[in-house]
Amino acid sequence: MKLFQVDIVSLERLVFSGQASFVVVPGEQGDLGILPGHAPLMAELRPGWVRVDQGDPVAEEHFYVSGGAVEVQPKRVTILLDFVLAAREDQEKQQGRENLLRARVSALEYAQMEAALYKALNGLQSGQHPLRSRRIRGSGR
Amino acid sequence: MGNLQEIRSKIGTVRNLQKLTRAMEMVARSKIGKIMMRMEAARPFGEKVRVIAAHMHHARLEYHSPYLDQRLPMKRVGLILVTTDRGMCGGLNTRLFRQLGEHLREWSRSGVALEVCVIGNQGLSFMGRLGLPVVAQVVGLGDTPEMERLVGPVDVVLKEFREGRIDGVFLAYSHFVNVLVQRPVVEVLLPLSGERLGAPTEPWDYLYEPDSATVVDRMLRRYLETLIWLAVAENMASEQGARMMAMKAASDNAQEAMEDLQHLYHRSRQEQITRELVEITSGATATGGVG
Repeated sequence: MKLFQVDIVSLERLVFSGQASFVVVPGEQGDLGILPGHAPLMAELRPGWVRVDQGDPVAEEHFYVSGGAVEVQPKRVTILLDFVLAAREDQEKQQGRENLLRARVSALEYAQMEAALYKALNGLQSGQHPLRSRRIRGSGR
Repeated sequence: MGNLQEIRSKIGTVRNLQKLTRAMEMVARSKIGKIMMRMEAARPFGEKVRVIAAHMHHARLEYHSPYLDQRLPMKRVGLILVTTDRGMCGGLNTRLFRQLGEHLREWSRSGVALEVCVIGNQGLSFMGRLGLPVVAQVVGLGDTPEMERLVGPVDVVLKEFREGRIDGVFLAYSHFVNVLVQRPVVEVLLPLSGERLGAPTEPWDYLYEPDSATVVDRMLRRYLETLIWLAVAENMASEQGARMMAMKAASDNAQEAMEDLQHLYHRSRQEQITRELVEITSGATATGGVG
């Protein structure tokens, strides 16, 4: 069976990279089925599902795309995603939310630290420099 | 007595400050790694978009995209200014503003009108101080360059160019050379030049769907958005790098100050003991304890 390389990339990461025998993408004017040896093609995508057949009927991957473009070369198909939501990402997202929560707590702490530093900086500028006042005192011997 | 206590409390203050600056240094250090990973992850996408755009630009010379339109002399320009949200990052923004100042002076001298899209709080207040017209803004991006939040405001400026109301767009940000070095950059974003896209090694043309003009324009826009995204990401890396160095310097200074104060404290304490001894002995002498 003839195969070709399929890459699905977004700005955030490589979503999928592997061999496929057949790919269906949601073109702006209708779904496009791509087989090996397709003529070079550039098409804009509408929101919809991308299907990647990996030769074996069991090995079939589906990705939801919310827009992007596809570049087809005879031995290579690249799908550029503007924003991606893959079906199997749900779990990762859950994880992401937890991370976000943790990050927010530390952001609060960070803001507090920053506030404390600014306060200290204000103190320095208004003449309460810990070293400066020492010098004045020290100069008297 | 008061003196000793005062010194001790100052030592405490400096120590607390040092704890803060140390912590901020660590935070910056870890954030740099994350942002650089993001930039690395975006590379395949960015490179692919550039290569496709270059191929199409090369193959479709008969179609002149509005993004490639040279309109000289420039009478009205757009500026996309990328700065940090927070301060405490050394002279990072100041250096960028200084560099930008030369362009601003030049434009105002030759009567070029300006429209600004600002990314980051610091840039917003800078533009506010100068009283320059801000047509779009993004603040509070945090530590992740989110394309979703950038596209809207950035498109305000891109659209102005597309529709011929401005004759050029400049992009200003802090280029991340490495953790120690960040360089302010003010560069021309639009009109896009063929050189910037690069010439394809083996040129070919595509079939286009829906049509070549639409596809070429959208791909060029994607390319522009990627460039801006990268500028934002680089600026974030620069911010953390600069902050890391600034906080390290602050920690070192605090260390020095603490040691000075520590010295002073010991000396004062010694002086006080000596004085008390003198008082006791002279007191004893006066009451006739000796002789």
